[in-house]
Amino acid sequence: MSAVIQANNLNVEYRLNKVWVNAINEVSLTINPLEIHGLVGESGSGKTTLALSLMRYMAGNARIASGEILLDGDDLVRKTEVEMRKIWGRHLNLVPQDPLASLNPSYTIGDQIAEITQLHEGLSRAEAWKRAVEMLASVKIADPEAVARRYPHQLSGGMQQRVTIAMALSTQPRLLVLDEPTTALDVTTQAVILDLFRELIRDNHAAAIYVSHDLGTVAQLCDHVTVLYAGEVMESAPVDDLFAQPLHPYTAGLLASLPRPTQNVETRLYAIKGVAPSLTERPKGCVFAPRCPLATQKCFDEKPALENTGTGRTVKCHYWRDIAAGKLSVQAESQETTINAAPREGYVLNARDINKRFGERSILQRITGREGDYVHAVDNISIRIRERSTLGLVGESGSGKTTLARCIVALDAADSGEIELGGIQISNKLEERTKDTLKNLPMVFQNPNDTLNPYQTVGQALERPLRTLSGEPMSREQIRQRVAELLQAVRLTPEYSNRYPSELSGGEKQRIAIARAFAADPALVVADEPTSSLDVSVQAVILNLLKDLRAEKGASYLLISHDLDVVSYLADWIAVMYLGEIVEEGDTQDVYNAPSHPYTEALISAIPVPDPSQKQGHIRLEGEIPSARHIPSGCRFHTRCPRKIGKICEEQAPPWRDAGDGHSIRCHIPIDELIALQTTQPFNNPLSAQE
Amino acid sequence: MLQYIVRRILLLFVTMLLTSIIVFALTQFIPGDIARLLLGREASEQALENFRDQFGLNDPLPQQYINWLTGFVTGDWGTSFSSGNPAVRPLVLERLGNSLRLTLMTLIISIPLSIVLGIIAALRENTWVDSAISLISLSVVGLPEFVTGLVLINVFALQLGWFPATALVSSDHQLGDWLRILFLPAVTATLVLLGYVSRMTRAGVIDELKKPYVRTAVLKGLPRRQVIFKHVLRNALLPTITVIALSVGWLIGGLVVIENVFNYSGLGALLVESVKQKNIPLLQAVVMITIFFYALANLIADVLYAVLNPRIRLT
Amino acid sequence: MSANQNSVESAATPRLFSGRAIGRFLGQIARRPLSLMGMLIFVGFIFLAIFGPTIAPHQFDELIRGAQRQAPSAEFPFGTDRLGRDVFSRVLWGAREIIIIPGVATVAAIILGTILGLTLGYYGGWLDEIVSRALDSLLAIPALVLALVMLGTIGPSNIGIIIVIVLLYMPIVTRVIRSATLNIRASGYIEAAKLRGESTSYILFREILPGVLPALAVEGALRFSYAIFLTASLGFLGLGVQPPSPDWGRMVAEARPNFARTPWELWFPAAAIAVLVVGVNLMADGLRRIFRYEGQI
Repeated sequence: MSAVIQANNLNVEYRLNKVWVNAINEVSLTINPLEIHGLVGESGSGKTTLALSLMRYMAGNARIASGEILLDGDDLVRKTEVEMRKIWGRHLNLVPQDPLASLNPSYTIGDQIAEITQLHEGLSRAEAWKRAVEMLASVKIADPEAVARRYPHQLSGGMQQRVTIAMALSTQPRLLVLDEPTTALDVTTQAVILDLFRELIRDNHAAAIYVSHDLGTVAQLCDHVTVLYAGEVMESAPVDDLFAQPLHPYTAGLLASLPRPTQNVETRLYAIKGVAPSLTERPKGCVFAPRCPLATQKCFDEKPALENTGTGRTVKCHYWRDIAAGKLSVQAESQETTINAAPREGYVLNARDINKRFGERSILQRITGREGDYVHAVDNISIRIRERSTLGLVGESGSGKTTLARCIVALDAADSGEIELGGIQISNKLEERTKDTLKNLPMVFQNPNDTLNPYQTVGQALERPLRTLSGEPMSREQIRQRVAELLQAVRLTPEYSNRYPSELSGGEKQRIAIARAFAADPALVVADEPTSSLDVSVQAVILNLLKDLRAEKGASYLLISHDLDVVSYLADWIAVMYLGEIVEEGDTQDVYNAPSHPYTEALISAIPVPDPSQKQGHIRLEGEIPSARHIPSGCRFHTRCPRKIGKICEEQAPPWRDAGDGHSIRCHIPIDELIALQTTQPFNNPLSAQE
Repeated sequence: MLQYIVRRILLLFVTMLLTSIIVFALTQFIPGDIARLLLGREASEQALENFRDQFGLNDPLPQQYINWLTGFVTGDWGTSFSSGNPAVRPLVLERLGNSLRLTLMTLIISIPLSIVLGIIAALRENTWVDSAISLISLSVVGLPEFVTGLVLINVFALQLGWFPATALVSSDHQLGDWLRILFLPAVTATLVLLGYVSRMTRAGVIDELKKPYVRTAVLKGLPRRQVIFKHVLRNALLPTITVIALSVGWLIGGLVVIENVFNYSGLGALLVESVKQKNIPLLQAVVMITIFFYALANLIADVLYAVLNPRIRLT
Repeated sequence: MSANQNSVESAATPRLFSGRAIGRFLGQIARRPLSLMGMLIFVGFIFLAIFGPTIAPHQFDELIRGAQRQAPSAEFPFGTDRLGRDVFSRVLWGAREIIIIPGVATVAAIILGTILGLTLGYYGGWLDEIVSRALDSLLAIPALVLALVMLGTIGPSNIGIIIVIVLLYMPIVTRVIRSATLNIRASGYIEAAKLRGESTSYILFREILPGVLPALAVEGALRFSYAIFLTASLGFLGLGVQPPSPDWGRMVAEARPNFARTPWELWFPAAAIAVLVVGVNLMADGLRRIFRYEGQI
């Protein structure tokens, strides 16, 4: 079997400040026919650069310094751009990360797909259009003729990504490069798209490179995996071997840092210390040595070679034999546990019947007496959070979970409903809240890049809440003391107080944001997707930190995330939201197990398990979450529900059903029938698999 | 889409209404007694009173405004304060025709030229070509029209004698005559627009070149020419439509000065005259007509932009 | 709240203008020859505005006997006009008004526009709707036309020109600052400040303002160059700074009838305007590139 594409000792350089710096270092890899080859790495690892370099597509300031890239034995490095034009679009095709931006906004979908076959196969416009429609049908787009006539902005994210797949497959390429193609999608849509990839790549006899930071999707999709770090290959192995026994400390660390629902509540996530090196300061020895728990002096002095283990794997570590033999393990240190302080009896937050609508009636609608264009983002929701506990709020984007959180902290004023904090009712309006309320109810935001004012130092960011919110006046010395303590609490040194946000990494910024939230000893911290834009190794640090702080400071959390696994790591109680309503709530373990609301069941089923031996669940949702402007009648989920039982679902709002221990489900199907359905047609639930 | 166009036309009327209030209000601030100011110190009380009556200056202000506005809309633009009291409308329309000729000539020269320069600068970003275009456009954008106009007159009219130094209009002008007299003023006005339009075009193309769909087009294997002309320019030139419409505002200001430099009897020259004479009916008419055409240019640009942009056309 | 106003307050001032930042900024300017040239021209003219009248060999209205219509020479570097006034001295004297009037007006427009833009952008809602609409209709009138109408009615005067420039450019600055504020308003750090119960003025001036300063610097330089341009054009049309004080635009207009005999009388003030405006433009362009600010021109 000869390789489709083979890279030998590839070096790619970027021009930064008039100096060429190495971004891809001596990478060799082979991709065989029919293989889906995963390229995994954290941000800055060079995975996208490498994938595009393999297509011989270079950014304006990049160049291939040395090495060769053989496509069916033909060296692409020596080809000119004009020669590459016969290969691009025909043999090498890209499925990009951001489908909307990657499609030309001014041409129809059909035109953009047809362009490729007109160019490479000399089809006439009409023939190419016909082929485009066929391609759209092949990626399971329902009404391909109509979609071909549409423009990119008229399609949903999932549909846009199907279009780019159809485009990439329309010339039956030798190699597809999938560059983080599902990162922007909801987990339910991602599951559908991944199924599609699997099927289409097989049917087209193509090979593929799948670039991703997500070990779960890699485990589920790929045949072979290459792990990149700082532009170098750390390890490359068949997917089963890699996940079963990683030979490189970096791979092992990444796997150990993933939160999994099977974890014991006291488990601490393994966190890789430090940050990845920048391109300009590559360590002399092993690039990973500064962050490696097993590093010895040899690792700092001597660069390890990429060795072939003889079992179809390669690894770049001095000590891989010891790791393989089980003599060394990065996990050892992660066995330490955290104090998982048990929740107390009382409720820190009790929010009842919260409603929030957006939009208003236009003048015309007011005159004609019509209803306005309202978006009912939060519809009569009640939640309670125990002291020193965490409520996890999950749901796809558009479910209203962020709006609910913003109503609690009053960044948006709830239209109606009552909020009690520590047993005392507080106003729904921010300007009417007392200083004491504000002190007890801070928020941690999603985007680390705008969470800190770029013109204020870390010290200034932390001093301010100390001065405005903490009860008694503090002297300059006391404030400096407290800032140092806060930095200490988020595991940073006091020197950080003089830094500006531009000098911090994403994870560090988020740690400062957490420190700021804890500055005034809050009772409840609202965290909106605090780790969703961070790499997994950094995410582990943040999740550990949140767990530690909960025990140390006795605070509670309202944690919002689209990622059930993240939520399950911290939360002892989970509420699942769909289109402005809670459809299920209960103890974390109960929510993961049958009986579940069909929506929860589908969410869990869609999670790509970072373990190739456990296949993903098979339940897939049709379409995407409907617009909150047009909420379906009856059960809001009936338009997508795989367990819909009939007319009743369309006509009547479902009742709350009690599954015991406060676990409730809002569904027309009775509890015991749900249990029967979900155990006779089971999917691989990571929790039930363990039991 | 139709709804958008209707809304946009309604907005034009609202804008005209608001600006008419501003214009009317501004023209009321003239200090002192207009009648006295215009008729002179020796005028009798009776003459002053007659004048005020004739021009409705004794009515309350809102009444004056309504009279003026209805008159304006129905085509009665009043009579000029100046001697002989000629009707305002024919004068303004004649001058408008002249100004529109000059505007048209300017746009024909400047728009293609500046767009091409902008595109070249963008495609050669950060090379000496780009720097040269950038320096030229920055310089000419900074030069006041009366300076460039005088330089052009000196070189092409006085030294070389290719074109007339003044643009005197005569009723028996043929197309060739028009081109000859309009050339220098139009080139002067072109220099005003050149820098602005070419720099905005350059920025637009550079912006567009960075977008991921360009990479998609390249990775389809399309030739560079097709990537640029079919994919990039289709999107990059859309905002240029708006830029051109906005630059018409500049052009109007520039024309006021240019018409004075070249003694061209257009609306701009009339505007300056009416200001100096404090000839209010004339001033109001000139300003309202100018604003109308500026607003119309913006309306056309917005509609064109929406029609050519599927993201607005189909929402 | 009063407990917070203690001695530590000063420590919270954002160090936007630290020595390090200024040094870096000057370094970046120096690396762009055109921007550096613009900066030097600007500084040079500021110098002239301050010291021009002192170093001028003659009074601007001094009639030098027997020295009418002299071509440029060592004694009269820019020549003399038909009345025997030294053109060089008149240009030097004129520097003051052409810098001060647009300068004062620009600063006022920037300050008012910033306050208004911050407020509208932060509050939004109907206030924003109404004020923005009003400013839009002001902008719907071409600048020079509006200037002429206003000066025609209130009469040409220095104060009049300043008011006109402020009214013309304040809406533009407001727009720029408003949209920059809109971008910042939804940031996590602004929401965090709200959740701390910070006052609106703290949020506007301590949290948001530093973020719009780069846009302001570019806007300020651009508006200044247009203000000079406008002042000179008004002078040329005879509606600018009133005689006898020398005004470059009016000097050009007055020199036209004598152009055939004394061209220098026209070229030197015209060149002074051109160099100044182009210089400020180059500087503005340099600021835009350094701050990577792509706003309207």
